[in-house]
Amino acid sequence: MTATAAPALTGLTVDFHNIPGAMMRVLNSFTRRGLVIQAVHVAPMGDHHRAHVVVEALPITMEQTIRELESTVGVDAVAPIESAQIERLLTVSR
Amino acid sequence: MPITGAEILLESLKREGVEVIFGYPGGANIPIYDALYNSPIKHVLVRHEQGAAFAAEGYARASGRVGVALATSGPGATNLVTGIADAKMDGIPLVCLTGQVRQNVIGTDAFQETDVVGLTLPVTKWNAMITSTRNIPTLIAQAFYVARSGRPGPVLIDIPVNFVREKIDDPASIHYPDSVTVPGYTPDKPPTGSEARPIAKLIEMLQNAKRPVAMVGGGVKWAGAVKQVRDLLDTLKIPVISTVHGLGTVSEDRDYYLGMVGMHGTRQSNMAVSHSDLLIVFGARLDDRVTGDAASFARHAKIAHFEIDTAQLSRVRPCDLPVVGDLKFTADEFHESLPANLPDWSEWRKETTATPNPAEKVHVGTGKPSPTKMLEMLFAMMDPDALMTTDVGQHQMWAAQRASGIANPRQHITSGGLGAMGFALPAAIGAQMAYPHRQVISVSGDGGFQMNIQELATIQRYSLPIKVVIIDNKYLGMVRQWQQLFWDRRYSEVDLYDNPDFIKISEAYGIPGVLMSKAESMEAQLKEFLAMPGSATLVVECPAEANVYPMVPAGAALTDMVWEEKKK
Repeated sequence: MTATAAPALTGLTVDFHNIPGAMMRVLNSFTRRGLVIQAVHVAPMGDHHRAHVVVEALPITMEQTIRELESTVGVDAVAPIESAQIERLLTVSR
Repeated sequence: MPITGAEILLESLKREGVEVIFGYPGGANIPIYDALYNSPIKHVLVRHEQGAAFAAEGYARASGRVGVALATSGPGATNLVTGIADAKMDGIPLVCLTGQVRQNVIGTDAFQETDVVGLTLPVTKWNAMITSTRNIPTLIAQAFYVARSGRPGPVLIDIPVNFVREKIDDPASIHYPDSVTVPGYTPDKPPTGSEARPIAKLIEMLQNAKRPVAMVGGGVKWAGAVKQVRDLLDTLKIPVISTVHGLGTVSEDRDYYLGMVGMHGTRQSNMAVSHSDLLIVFGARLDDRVTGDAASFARHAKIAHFEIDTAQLSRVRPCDLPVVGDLKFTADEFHESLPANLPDWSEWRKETTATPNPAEKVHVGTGKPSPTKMLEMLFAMMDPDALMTTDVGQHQMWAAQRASGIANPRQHITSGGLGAMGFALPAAIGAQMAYPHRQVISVSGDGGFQMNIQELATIQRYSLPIKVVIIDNKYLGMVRQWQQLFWDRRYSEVDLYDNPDFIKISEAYGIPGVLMSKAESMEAQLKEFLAMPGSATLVVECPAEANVYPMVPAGAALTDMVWEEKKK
């Protein structure tokens, strides 16, 4: 964990159970830290939904966000997004 | 005979063991109030919804059970928010029920419509809106399960009025589940990549430690692990420090107990943690008021953190070893796994107490009662099992500094994380409802008291024998103290010279008052006050510029304690 690294484009994949408000709860874990959501993509995946969220953030912030999401009611799994996928997500709606 | 959604709701609450609800009626929850008319569940009518949330919290904090608050839609719901946020910060099990406009007008900005689910997303552990009358029992069971399991927290259920009005012709068709799960909720899931056998690793760390320190927080009582942790610490005999919410977990007669840590902690606690090489944390968040400057907090120490909620780990300081799980079991497992040949830490213990905590400077000469002396007397005179609620500010810290002698950590009830003024009075109502036969004392400052002053009416209505203490220095004292010490005495908007006559106000609500304005009569008046039948208010006219010491300036290291104003 380091607090001195520069913010970098990064992102998380979040598997969650979709009830009204669940998506907002996931996104709030990012926005409450003052992060601008650069891209978000969400779709159903069997019995749950999967969100890809891209932000610019420090590694320490992402570690905190992961732990918070892991303990969020309704969230099944959280994992970092690989950089190649981040690029794809940023261009998907162009 | 048909059953209404409101009756289904109350039956669901009854099955969760709910005996009392704190609330306030309005248009969107009238059907629920109609059902309450014939219900065995007791309803306490507060005079402001914030009072309902704080009272429900006081009930939960005192008893360990889930507190329930009920409000109407719109302003009723928004008035709950401060209490909900308070419960989120301190991990208090709360279920808040809010009325909502009819489902078919949601989104039309109908009268008293507010998106309360959206509004409370960041401050609830979970929230949801009822979308079917038949689903009420499941959703209520899920709400209580989430509120009370894992790290407890507030849950809000928003209830469009049409669902509680709806009549179900066949009550037998309503299913009340005996147990529920919530998809995507595993309360004690270890964090990704965590140590597979943390206790074995911790024992290795402990055996290599020369200066270990244990910290106890509010999580110990919420896990029901006070006995387990006390037994463990009696075996370890390492220096022990406490957060505000951990006070009372360890008896102050233990020679290894050093007192409260943090911004207004004892010198011995702050120095011990600063020089430790292993810090074992039991159920504490390590927030900024505890750590001071995060980079210098326990800078030589590895941190082992017993915690049930992974979100609390490594928030301000990296944790070297998370021990995730129910403390009742992990503390026992740790205790049972301890080797017989633990290192001898007696020299380290002596070192931590070698320098006594500096004596407090009592404000003498003004002739007015010293707030700290008064609180010392109050702690000495109150019943051994009394419940004390405090507000936020100087009096809160003065009380916390003197609360280590309480027998049980549930006796000290305060808004620690959010620091919500106006908490003490309604929280005392909740505590008294939980324990009608125990002594309950509410301690506020003159600022905070006026934030929920209307709840004197609730105390009077239900003849609650709450003793209300107001530490009146005619200032917003803690802000004034910061302005004095760190802002060149530029006292900006903290002067409450024009406070009303609190005795007259109290008497107007039918509660007798006692004015304590002279130091020499403190003891006698306190005795008289505590002996008064029923509720009574004590106004303690204190010196205006009494300060809370020691104080670690915000953002400074715990070793940088301030003991007086710097002379220029």
